[in-house]
Amino acid sequence: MEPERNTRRNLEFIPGVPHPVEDPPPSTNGVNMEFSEAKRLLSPYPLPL
Amino acid sequence: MGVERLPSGQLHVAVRTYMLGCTGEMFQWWFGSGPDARDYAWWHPVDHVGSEWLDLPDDGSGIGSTHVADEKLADDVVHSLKIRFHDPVEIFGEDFAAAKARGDISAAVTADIGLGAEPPRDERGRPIGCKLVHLGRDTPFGLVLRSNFWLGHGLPLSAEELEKEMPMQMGLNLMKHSYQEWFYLMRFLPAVAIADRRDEKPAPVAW
Repeated sequence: MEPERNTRRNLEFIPGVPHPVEDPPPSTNGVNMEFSEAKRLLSPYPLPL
Repeated sequence: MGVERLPSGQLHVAVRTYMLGCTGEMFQWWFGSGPDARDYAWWHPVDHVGSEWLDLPDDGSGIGSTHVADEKLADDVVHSLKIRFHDPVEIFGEDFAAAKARGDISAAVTADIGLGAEPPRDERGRPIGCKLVHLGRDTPFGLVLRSNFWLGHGLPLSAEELEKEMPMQMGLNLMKHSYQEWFYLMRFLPAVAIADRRDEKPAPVAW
C-alpha cells in the first residue's frame, strides 16, 4: 500500500516519506526601494530586507 | 539580503546579520567611540586596512564625524572612503522616535559615503556617491542588524552610466564584506562595550 504523502497540512514526520517544501512567496518588502523610500525600513515586519 | 539594480541605476545592497549577544546600545557605542586602527583591524582583520576619524564629537553619538577608511570589499582592491555620519532623523523624521518607542529600532547609524580620496561633495560639503543606513533591533538573542546601501546615490550620472560605474559585482562584494564585518564585530563587541564603560555601569561578574 502506498504510504500517505506528507504535506504541509500533515507536518508529522513520516520516515521514508518525501516531505515537499514549497518555495515561500517572493517578498515584495524592499524590492526596488530607492533611497527616498528608506522610511519603509523602520518597520521590521513582516520580513524586511 | 540581496542586491538589486534600481530604475535610477543605483545599486541597492541589503544585508541582514544576527549579532548574537549584542545590543543596539553596544552597536551605537561602537560607532560613537571612533574605532582606531587597532579596533578597525579587529572589526574585519582581512579587509580593514586603515582608520582615521575627523570631527568626532565628545557626546558619543558620532554624529557629524567623518570616518576616513581604507578597506577592501571582499577582494584585493583597497578603497579609500569618506564616511560622513549624520542624525538619522534627517532621513526618518518624526517616525524615528516612534519606531524607537515601539522597540522596532534600538540602534541607527546613517551616513553619506564618498568613494575615493577626494570624492565629489554636495553643497554642504558632504561626500556623495552612496547612502548608508544601519538599523538594529534588540531581541532576546541579540541584535538583528539590517544594513542598506544605495551605491551611486547623488552622483550626476544616468542609469546607464551608473550601471557601468557601479557593477553588480561591486554590490555583491559589498554585501559579502558587510556580513563579514558584523560577524567579526559580534564576537568581541559585548566585551569591549562593557569594559569601556565600566565606570558608568558595573560590569557583570561571571562567578
